[in-house]
This record gives sequence, structure tokens and C-alpha cells, in this order.
Amino acid sequence: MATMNRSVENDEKLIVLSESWDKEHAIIETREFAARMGFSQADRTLIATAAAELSTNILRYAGQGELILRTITDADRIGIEVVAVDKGRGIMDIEKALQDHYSTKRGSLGLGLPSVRRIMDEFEIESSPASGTLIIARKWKGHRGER
Amino acid sequence: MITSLTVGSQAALSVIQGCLVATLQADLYDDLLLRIRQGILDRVHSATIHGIVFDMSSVRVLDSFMFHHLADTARMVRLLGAEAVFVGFQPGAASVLVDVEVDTSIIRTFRTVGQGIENLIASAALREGNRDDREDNSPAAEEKRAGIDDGDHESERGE
Repeated sequence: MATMNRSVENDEKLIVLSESWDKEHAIIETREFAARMGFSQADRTLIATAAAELSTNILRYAGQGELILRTITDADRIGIEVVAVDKGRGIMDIEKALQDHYSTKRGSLGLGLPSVRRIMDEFEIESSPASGTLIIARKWKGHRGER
Repeated sequence: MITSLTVGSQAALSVIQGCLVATLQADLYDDLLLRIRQGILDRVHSATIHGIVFDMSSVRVLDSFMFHHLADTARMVRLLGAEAVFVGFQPGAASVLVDVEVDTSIIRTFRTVGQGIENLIASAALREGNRDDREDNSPAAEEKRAGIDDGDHESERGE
């Protein structure tokens, strides 16, 4: 298996995505990471689902890439940051990729991205044919959406 | 009678009362989903299966890709002349599916495998019943058919 994991620190985890089954690994790692941070059961499922969507995007459209999980903090709260990075051909039309997935339901780019944006509190995306795609999604503990 | 067939490493297909029960593992991925689909379609095609029950009770995380893959598999099963139902969704998975706004109305759901099987058998009986009506050779049915036939001829002549 091509899965390789390297704990940079306690609060960062790198998951390499190159084979189909690495997605399963990403889901498990993300859920455990969120659990260790004290996210509620419902939030763990939401965050793991976002990681699943991002992993599928990478595996389907870029072939391979990485998912990085991080603990982030600001003034008085902590959160999880899920970074998805690949060196694929990039997303031609980001606006379109972020549109409701009914319009891009199958086989086209962006299928999972609207879901990720709905699930997480913050969502950033950068993409170009030269450098690939970088997506950063964050969810704060105790922020809206915690159920 | 229960027969089992393992698909991939952790997903299993069992035949219970003429229904195929696909028990899905906790975390799914594309290749596994494709193997499960293939296993299901092969079985539905080659055997007399009333329908298929997708047992979702172990599935904790279901993203939009996985959901659409399973919903599409259910449509394929329907094209082969069987029915497909989903049972045992976990609250977390159900809540996420609504949050990500996938169209969940395209699948039929029940609480337990037992209820799913019951429903599939009932729908199969209904389909068989319709077929029996058409193949009914009783005098009454003969008469009814003759009547319809006459009607057709009448209308043909009328044109």
C-alpha cells in the first residue's frame, strides 16, 4: 500500500493519497484527529465527510495528492484545518465547481466541493493549471454548526 | 437459507429469503464500491432475486460521491427488474446527507434489514401477481381477454 503517514507534530498529520483505498484511511485518520481535539460525535462525522469529499476529488481528478490535518487556534478557540493539495491540472472554472452539485452531479469537476463548503466554517481555494489545486477548509469548535 | 459471498475484504453479500443483502463496511472507497456494484449486478442478473437490501448500519461516513454511487447502483438493479432498498442509516450519516443537500428522495429507506426484506417480498409478490393476471387461463380471464381483443378489432375496423 502506498499509504504513508508522518506525524510532523502532535497537532499535524499528513495523509498521502495515491490509491483508491487511501480514502478510507483519510476518513479514519480525520475522524480520530477530530476526536482527539474533542469535537462532538456529529462534528467528527461532518469533518470526516469533508475529508472524504476532498480525497475523492484528488484521487479522481489529480490522481494523487495530500491531505494535511492541523490544529489551529485563534484568540479563544481552537479548530481543525483540513488542507487538500495536489499537482493536478487545476480547476478550470472554480465558480462553476462551487455551484450547487445538482448541476455538476456526475463526472465533472467540483462534485464534492459545495458539500465541503457547507460542512465547514471556512473554505478557501486556489487553483491553476501550472501549480495544481490547494483547498483549505476549517471548522472551529463551538462555532456555528457544532451540534 | 443464507448463502454468503465476500466481495473485497470487508463487504459481504448474503441471500436471505430470496433477497440479496449487501452489508457495507464502515468506511467505503471507490474501488470497493465498484466491486460491490459488480457483485450485486451479477447476482441479480444470474439468480432469481426479489430485490436488494443495502445495510448501511455500519457506515459512519458517506460523502456525496458514495451516496450517488449507491443510488446509481440501485437504479441499475431496477433496470434488471429487481428493487433496491436501504436500511439502517446512522443518524450521523443521515444528518450529513441532508447537510450536503444530496437528493435523498431517490432512494427508499427502512429501519431494519427485516423490514427491508418484507417490503421487497411484498413488491415482488405484487409484480408476480400482475404477471399471473396476464397469464391467468381461467374461463373468466379468457373471456376478459377475448373481450379486450374484440374491442381492439372494433376500433381497428372503426378507423
